[in-house]
Amino acid sequence: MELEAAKLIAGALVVLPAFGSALGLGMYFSSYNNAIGRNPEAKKQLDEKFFLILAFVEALGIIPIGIGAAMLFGG
Amino acid sequence: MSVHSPIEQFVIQNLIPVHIGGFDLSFTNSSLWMVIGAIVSVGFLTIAMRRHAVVPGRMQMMAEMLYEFVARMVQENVGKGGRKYFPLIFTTFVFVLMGNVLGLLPNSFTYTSHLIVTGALALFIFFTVIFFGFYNHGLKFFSLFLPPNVPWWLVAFIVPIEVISFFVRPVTLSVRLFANMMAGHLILKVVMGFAVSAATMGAAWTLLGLFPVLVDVALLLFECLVAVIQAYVFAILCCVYLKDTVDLHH
Repeated sequence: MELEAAKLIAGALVVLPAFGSALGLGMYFSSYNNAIGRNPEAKKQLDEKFFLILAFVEALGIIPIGIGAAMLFGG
Repeated sequence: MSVHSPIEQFVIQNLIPVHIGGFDLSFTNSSLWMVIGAIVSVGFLTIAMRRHAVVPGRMQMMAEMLYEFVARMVQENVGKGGRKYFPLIFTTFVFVLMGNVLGLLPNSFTYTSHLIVTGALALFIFFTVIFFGFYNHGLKFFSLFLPPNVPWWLVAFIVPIEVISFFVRPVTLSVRLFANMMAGHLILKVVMGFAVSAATMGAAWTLLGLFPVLVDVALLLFECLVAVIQAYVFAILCCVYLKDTVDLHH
């Protein structure tokens, strides 16, 4: 198997963790909506940390895509 | 038609080649956009605060909102002693925000999409933390690696983990911003590439090519959100890391 083919396969495989991040995002949003549904007054407290945690979960999904892209299009 | 590879937007071009003593200190498009970012942020704040009346006008309100946003973030996350870190956090936040937001303009250059830039920022914050940690607490700063009331038999496990998590901070800090910005812009170009290749395959296909354009619009909106959030996360994590230099675990 030539290097090129291996690199393409590796570039594709490295993006699999994005599946976990998508799952995490789904669970995060559903628990956010449940919490607001149960106790609407808590919205203010929840919103303080909402974007911070969203960025963390999102970053874990984008980092493998970044690495995959760097491998595929990079050196 | 030159095939426009998605990675081309990250190539650094030397605008004014400057070679000093074997070092390539040339003025690149990355530094050009850093200068533009600096001009935009300094210009905005000076213009907004030109007529600083007690009753703020619209521009002054925007500048005050930006200031209060960062001030509240520093106040909440670094506490009382964090007042002296406010300029550092404000500058980092505005610098990264300018990099991300200006990078969304068509054929502009996102300087935060290079690991060297985000790495330099993260390492700068990391060494600031170490310096002020020892400056304020002396050797007691090492107690950072031993959180309070840990059972004695657990200490052998906790300390290495704490040391590792301390040294992985600049890595995660820089890679998170770098990967978000690079991958985000990359996906934008790749999706637009589909529309372009569809368009070159004849009239009927061009209609089909409209769909990637719509997807690209949605992605661009998402990129705007990611740009601001990543700047916010970078700044808030700097606050959290600087908190250790102010008060150790209490």
